[in-house]
Amino acid sequence: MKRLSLMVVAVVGLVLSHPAFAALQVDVNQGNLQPLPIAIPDFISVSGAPAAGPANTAAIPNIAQVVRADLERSGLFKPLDPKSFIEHISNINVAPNFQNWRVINAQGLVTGQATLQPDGRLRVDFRLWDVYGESQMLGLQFTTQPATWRRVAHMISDAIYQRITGEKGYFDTRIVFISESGPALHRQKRLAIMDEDGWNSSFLTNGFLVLTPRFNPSAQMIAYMSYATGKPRVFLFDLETGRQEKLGDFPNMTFSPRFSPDGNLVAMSLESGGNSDIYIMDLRTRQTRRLTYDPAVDTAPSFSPDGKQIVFESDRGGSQQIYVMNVDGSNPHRISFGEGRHGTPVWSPRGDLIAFTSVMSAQFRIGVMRPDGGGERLLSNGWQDEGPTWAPNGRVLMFTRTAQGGRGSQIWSIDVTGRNQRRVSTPGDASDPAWSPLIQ
Amino acid sequence: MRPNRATAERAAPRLGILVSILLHAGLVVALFVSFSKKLDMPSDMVSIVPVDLVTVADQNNVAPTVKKEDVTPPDVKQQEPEPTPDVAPPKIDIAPDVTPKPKPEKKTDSEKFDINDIEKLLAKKKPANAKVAQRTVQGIGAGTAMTVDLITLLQSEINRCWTRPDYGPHPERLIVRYELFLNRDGSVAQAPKLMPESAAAAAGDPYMRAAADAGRRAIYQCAPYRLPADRYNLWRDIVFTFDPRSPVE
Repeated sequence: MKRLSLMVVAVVGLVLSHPAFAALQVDVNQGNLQPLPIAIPDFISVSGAPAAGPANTAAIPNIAQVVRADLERSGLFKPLDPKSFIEHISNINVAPNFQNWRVINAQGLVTGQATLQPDGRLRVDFRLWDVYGESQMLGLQFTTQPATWRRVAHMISDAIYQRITGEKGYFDTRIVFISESGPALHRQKRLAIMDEDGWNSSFLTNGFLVLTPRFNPSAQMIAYMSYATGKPRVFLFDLETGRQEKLGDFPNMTFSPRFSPDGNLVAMSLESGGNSDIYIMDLRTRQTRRLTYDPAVDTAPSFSPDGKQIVFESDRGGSQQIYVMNVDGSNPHRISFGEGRHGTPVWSPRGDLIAFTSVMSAQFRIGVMRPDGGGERLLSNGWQDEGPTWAPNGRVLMFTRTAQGGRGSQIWSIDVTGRNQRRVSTPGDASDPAWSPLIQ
Repeated sequence: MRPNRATAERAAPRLGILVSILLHAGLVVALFVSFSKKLDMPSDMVSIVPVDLVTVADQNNVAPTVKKEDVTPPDVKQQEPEPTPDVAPPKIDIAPDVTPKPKPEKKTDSEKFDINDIEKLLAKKKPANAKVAQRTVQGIGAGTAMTVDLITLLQSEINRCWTRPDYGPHPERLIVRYELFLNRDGSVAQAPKLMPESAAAAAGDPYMRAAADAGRRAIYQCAPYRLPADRYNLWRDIVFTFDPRSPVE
């Protein structure tokens, strides 16, 4: 009897000690979507005693400035004005006085130091702090040649972005695009490349009309269509060597190339007698395989992240719509059934969405849908927005925006949530962007 | 003469208590010493793992065909150094935590929630919240009508502080639960504890970890919670469920 009583007491005690019984239950289901206030003071500059010559901290670049710009551009962070800072960071190896940062409403704090080492290399250390939790969230050190300091800044931005959001960043990436210049009748379109933030841009080709550039998974090779030989053909551009190569020897036009996720295949369109179909070329063997046989126009192929399926556009049903097929060409089926026409589909790197260009009442807009065709949403609101490309983390899209009347085109970006629509900085008019994977 | 058995039994616990007190005192001293050293964080403790960017070729990335000055971004005035192509795959490791013990600070009086504003806040409450609160209260056993206003007050405060984790392919799944103990003055008594199921999810999922961080930030940011002291027994222990499934209003 005594044992039974003890058991009853124990069970009751356990039940009562469960939070559901003891604690006040509060559901928090609204919140806000404001960008996270984060303080990023200028990094401490240190010049380690050089072997020859005086110390020169003036030569150390302002890394924090680039990090602030990166994070602000994402729309998920609100870097605070350094003028509002109360505390001066003089040693990144001592915990900051968190109260000084709470007063200015900072939720995150980044402290860093850039050291010009005696061997001429640049060492950058930084720490990310949770101001309210009073804990370090991240601490990293980079060593590099001073000339590549902007890459280090972008890598720091990526690390902070990933630690706070859980998503990989996209700042240490590049954009390849078509740079446009000259009058409308003699428009010059050249292949160009730049960092994600618009810096370090340069032309890759000169003089020939080029279209639809696409990165391979290592971001070291670009496939694009060029009129360099007089007829439109798909070319490969090796960024490491600068070498260009015509892809295959086909009698007719080849266009709209796209690499497979492993980089071994290129899917593209081949035109023949007014009809175009989708083919795959194996870059290792240069063998080509035809995937579609429909008399309609099949083009704009894009691989799923697992490489097992291809999404493409076709007018086989009477209007331009989006279809999905297996990578061997089997089981083609339409997935777009929303209002208007749908084209230029691109599978998200994380696989959950397909971005496309929606055409309704002569207005072109960027939208997304699930791979089964459900959940269609239009994101952008320009007069002519087209040709989406995904950031490597599958959260942000870039696209070409042409103003009403066709006066020049620009590159814009938008969050997959439909927020944070903004113009991407480019040297002059630009179109047809392709976003690289994270630089390896 | 042998000691009386009852006397011996009484003496043994007294000795145990004495030893226990000494050991606890020693532990407290050890904790103070170790934390005070940690706060100083000498530089040799910083074992941040290096990431080396190595230049392997002069022209390994880009072969520009025009001069760089032709294509400088228009919006930035500062002149940057020419890029040196680089390629080494960086490996990134997280440095060891050098965090001092957390100690939430109190807000200024102007930021604190005023108990006299209860009626105002109740009037502001959203129908959706009220519905949830009613549902949540049922079956708690700590009083139903007694806690409705407390829940509404807490929701009103914490919703203001909570930045929703709108990340990843399925943000609606990023539900995290924290148990929080408060002092009678509404300050955080101890670090909020992530409930076991949330802790397990956060351990293996960076999105869940980000959601857990966001919940913890909200809890600290809203502290201290100004709640009626005479009902402290009802709100000293709170479980917050941060649930991003509802659309933002």
